[in-house]
Amino acid sequence: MSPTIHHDRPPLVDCDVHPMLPRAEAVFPYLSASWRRHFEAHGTRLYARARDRYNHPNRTHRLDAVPSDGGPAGSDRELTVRSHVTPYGISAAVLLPQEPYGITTWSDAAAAAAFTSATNAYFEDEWVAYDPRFTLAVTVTSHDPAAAAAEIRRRGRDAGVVAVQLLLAEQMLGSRWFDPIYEAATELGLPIIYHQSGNEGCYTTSQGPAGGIPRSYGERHVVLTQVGAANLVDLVVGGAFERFPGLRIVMVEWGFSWLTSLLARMDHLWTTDPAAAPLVRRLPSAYVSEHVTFTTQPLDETDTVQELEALFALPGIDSMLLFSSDYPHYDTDDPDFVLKRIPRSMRDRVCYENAVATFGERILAARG
Amino acid sequence: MLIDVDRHVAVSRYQDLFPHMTLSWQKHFEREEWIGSAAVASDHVRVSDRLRHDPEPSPSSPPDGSVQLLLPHQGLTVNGWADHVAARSFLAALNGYAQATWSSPTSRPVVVLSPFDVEWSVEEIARHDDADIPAVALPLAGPMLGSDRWSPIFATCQERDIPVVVHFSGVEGRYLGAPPLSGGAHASAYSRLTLMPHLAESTIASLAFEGAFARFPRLQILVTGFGFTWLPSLLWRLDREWRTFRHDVPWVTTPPSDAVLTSLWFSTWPVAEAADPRQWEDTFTDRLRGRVLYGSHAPHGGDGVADILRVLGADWPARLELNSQAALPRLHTVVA
Repeated sequence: MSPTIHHDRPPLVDCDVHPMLPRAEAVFPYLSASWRRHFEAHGTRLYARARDRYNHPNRTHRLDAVPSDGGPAGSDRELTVRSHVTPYGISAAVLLPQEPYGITTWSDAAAAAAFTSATNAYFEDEWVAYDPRFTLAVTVTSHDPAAAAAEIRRRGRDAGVVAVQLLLAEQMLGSRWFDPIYEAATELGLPIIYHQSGNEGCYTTSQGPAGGIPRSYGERHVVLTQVGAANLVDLVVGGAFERFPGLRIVMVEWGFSWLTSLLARMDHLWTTDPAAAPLVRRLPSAYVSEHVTFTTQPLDETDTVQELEALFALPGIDSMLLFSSDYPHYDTDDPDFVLKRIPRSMRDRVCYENAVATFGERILAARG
Repeated sequence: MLIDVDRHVAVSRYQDLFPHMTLSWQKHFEREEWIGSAAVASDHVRVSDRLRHDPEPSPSSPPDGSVQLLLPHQGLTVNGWADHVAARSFLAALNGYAQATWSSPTSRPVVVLSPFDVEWSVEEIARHDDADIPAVALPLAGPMLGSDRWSPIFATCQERDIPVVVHFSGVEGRYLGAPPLSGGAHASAYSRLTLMPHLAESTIASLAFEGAFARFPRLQILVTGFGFTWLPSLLWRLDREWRTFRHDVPWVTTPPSDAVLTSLWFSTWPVAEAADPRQWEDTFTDRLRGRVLYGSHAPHGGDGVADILRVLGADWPARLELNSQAALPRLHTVVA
């Protein structure tokens, strides 16, 4: 199967597609006998958000992504190709496995590493090998950075692997805790993808929004972007980009309209008192524009054309945006809808050029 | 008449509060560490890692001729106190001292309420209302402001046309029990100050989604010290999530942005973060401009009117003056 490219638009890289396991047992063949027995006996919890705390008012997924023969939305690779990848002319989809999001809530680091690795192996075999448009972000959790680094080195050179999806608990991205992971990722030239897991604001071991406890799902969703922003600040303040000049971060599903005011504030406060952030050696916004990209979904729904244009007014944003849909979630962004709202002068960059700069040429390389 | 809505004042010697306490509370507070913590409490609002700060000057007639809404910011720091009962006595004394000491023809202190005792706070408003208090300040602690817990305070303020001031104390994200900041633990004061507007965002989201604006349509809240350039992004998110989940919050019947632009006010400090107008002006509607007030944040490296002119332009001082008269009619009347 070769990539499908619509003639009326540039190649399109979708940086946020979630494949799902048809059932947890699907990864059992990739586990050792002892871990298999462990999970058979104890079961697995593969969702992160505390559903008895924040229940989604509808469903988290699109109904048309549910396979007719059973399984969760997004678990049928052929359906994903047929209803999303091919119709929208997507040349490459970055797969972000979702089951490990639930693993962020586990306390057993060894079990977390074993199940996450098995999940990576499953999606390599069942999805990446199935269609060359599927590429994989090897997923690791923050439980054990050494184990995570080993997983990155184990799979990072495999065909179709283009990034590392790093899932967080209480540690923020600027912490030296993650240095082994950054070392492995930069060694292999893989960017780190940071996507919300759903654990945010739910547990004593997870990060959350400012202020306290939002009451409802929608209220929480308004302020969830803050967790992404806080980790961005932590990366800069923690000196991660000084320690790893080759480190690239992809912020997925955190939005980006908040970035303009945040960077202006960071720059102003740092300029006023550089000694307040001793690991920061140059303008904070310079680190961000050099090392960080942001995905488009959920694109903010501005009221006027003037506001829409202002969304893209941040200097350098044209090199920092990647297209994403978040398929098969309820708030999937339709590529045709989103791309019409991207300034024409930026469209090629958002569609694929920035993705190539971030993930390398391999993102568009068809693999036979 | 331009009103500075973010002018800070502090007690230099906590012993000066003793005449405003009962004897038993004086005896409670007559302890070396508490008396010695006056400077620490005063420094929190700077959100700084510095171990030494210049002493704060006493409030005096501002060189730019503005009228001052004074914020006794040591009172805000009770949101980091472990002893909520003592906090109430401290605030009562501080409010008494503030009204007696800092009221002048060009300045009025706000009354600081206790986030740990709603009933007492309502009584405290009544106790000071005769003095034409221009506003009350509610330190952030406990349930977020949209919660029904705050209804007695909001009802009283609405009934008496007293605005509520929300300003960080500086211990948020640092002291256990005070509201967290976004993400995880931030050891760096630079990070905490950078992320402080998130505290305002969450407070606004809570007020909107929990229906506080609908319950108290005439209540006015001044969200000061957080800047203003982050507002358009927040308003887009508020309205989007409301459109998506409005069946989950049926008590919110209009777009949250409408309520924000009717009930809330914001202040300019630190105005230098708005230095590049290309990055925010096109998203700042006339209605948003109509909700921004002048706030110097003095004496903590604050902005003067000259800074407003330099950064925002010549038409802003007049706009801020009009806005502040609408936001603080009591203060405007008292000093006029």
